[in-house]
Amino acid sequence: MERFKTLILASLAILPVFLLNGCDDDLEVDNDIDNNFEILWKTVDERYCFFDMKKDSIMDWNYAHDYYLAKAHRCKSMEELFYTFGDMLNELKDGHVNLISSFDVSRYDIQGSYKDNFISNVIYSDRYLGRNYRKAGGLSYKLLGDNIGYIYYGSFSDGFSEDNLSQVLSYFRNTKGLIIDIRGNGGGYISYVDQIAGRFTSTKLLSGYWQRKTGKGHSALSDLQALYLEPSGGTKYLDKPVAVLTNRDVFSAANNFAQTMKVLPQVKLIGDVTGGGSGLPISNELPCGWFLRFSSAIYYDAEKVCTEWGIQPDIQASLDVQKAYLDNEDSIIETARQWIVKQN
Amino acid sequence: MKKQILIVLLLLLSCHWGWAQHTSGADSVSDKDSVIAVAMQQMQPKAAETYRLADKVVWFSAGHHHNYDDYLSSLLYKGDALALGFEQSRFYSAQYPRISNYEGAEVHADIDQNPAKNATMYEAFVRGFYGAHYHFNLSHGFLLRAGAFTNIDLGARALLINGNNPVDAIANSNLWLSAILSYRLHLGRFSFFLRNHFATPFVGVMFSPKYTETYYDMAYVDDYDGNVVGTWWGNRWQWRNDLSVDIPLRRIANFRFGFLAERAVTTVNKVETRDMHLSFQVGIVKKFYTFKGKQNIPSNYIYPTEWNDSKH
Repeated sequence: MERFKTLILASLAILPVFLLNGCDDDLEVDNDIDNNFEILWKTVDERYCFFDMKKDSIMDWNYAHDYYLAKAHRCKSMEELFYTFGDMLNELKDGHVNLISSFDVSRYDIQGSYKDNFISNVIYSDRYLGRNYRKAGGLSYKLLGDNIGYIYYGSFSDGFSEDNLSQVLSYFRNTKGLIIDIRGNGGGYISYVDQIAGRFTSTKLLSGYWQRKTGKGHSALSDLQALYLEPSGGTKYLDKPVAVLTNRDVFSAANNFAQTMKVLPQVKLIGDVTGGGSGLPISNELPCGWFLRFSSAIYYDAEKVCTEWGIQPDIQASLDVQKAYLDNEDSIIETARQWIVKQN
Repeated sequence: MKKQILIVLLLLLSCHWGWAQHTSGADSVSDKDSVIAVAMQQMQPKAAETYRLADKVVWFSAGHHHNYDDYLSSLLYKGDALALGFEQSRFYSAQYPRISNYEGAEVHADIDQNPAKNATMYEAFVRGFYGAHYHFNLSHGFLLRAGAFTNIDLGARALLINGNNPVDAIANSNLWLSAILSYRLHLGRFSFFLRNHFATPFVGVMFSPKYTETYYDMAYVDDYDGNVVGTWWGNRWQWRNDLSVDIPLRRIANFRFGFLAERAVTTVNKVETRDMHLSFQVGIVKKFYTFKGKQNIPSNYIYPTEWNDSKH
């Protein structure tokens, strides 16, 4: 009896080992077509934020499941499977939805039939930035001949410091106005948006709204939450006209920048409609080692209009390709210069 | 897993054999106990004295780790676990001879890989804990310490391949129920100390992002309501079991060899996490005596983890 009691007491010690045995078996998934497909479809189904908003313009997601699963079963290689999965994701018509493998990144073509409205060589010609332009962090800038400041910011992934911003704006403090050219800017760090925009206001302004996915249902979204633009510290550029140049390649954080700058009274968007991308993307992955990115939160402008499909400019302008190639003249920059001159 | 089970079974067999030895040689052991009892009686502290006896352990562990955090990934990550820990137990005072405190700190570092082996998740956290145990004498020479302690864990899980959701913070504080079952095993002239410590938190608070919420949302949009959540067994099921044997080395110190298992499953803010550590542990146990009044302490004085009421 005593030995039996001892054995029971000692057996308690190893109980946890048996409790742990196989405890995560439900998370073990085979790397086959069905598992990869189901994880991909389900992750998007439960976490993608635009289903409700886009329900009239995209393929029904349940129909997409059956349609693309059948296609996936007919795939004969991983490469073929990748592009089938990519095609399914492109049904969402969202530039923030990507499948990433070691050999390619699937992406939705936001450009569509829109014109480029931007030729990089032209802005680096002597008429604009030239060869002797200044550079502060990711900001390239130069004082144009008619005393108008010009800043080119090509990517919100290119960083800059507060001091960089102060130096640039100090340099332009006596100008008639400022052109901020973000054409071709595909986004990056959204925190830079307020960092720049805050230099152009002395008061707190409502800049937009924000909404997040709160559950698995397509309609499970939080209430709209107001976003405010706060004045930044450092050198400011106030009460002078500012033109923000846009084209269809302005996407994601750059689109958000255009949206935020638009609330400032002295700012006009000049150029073409932006590329949109008002979702904030998060990441996930598939058992085969491919990574997934998709929108999970939505940004709206100050009028509660979602800018996922782009922002219309205040002044529509197109690039005259002939003048651009023959005279290195950017007609969108010229439109902005004329508008600034008129404001003075 | 087979190796781990084999080692545990060997420990069990040793325990069982030691018990047989203990019961068959009861006379000789009781002689030794009577010497200790006399020493204990001589050492009964005077009213003005306070005494503090402590045993301290510094340990290192290495083993296997499972990490699942569906805020970061839908897949289970597996890899290696490393930890360094310190713990101490000592009686509070002569007025409360059955109550000892329990305190310590740990540093954990885990590196896990996804099933495709092309992404790495890092986890690191520090843990501090403080609590107390009440000592019970069980039959057959077993000592049970039962009590509670509280912890603070601070750290993070990072999956840096993710864009806007690369990190999930680990921040929690809990109240744990704790039980330590121990037994002194005599094998010939050697004496081993077997110990099994089981603990589980029953109430606490933890930090968790909300469903699909990014840290950008918290930092810039100020959407942090509901990120600190109350927990209990229903949404945080966690337990920890530390099975160890202390082996003496020339009266200088005892070496501790153990097997540490810890499991935590949380479902908070519609975010599920699962964490499992299975580690082998090596440590050094050292006895410390801190007396006020400069009393001379007999060398065979019993230290807190082996305190046994039957020996008084």
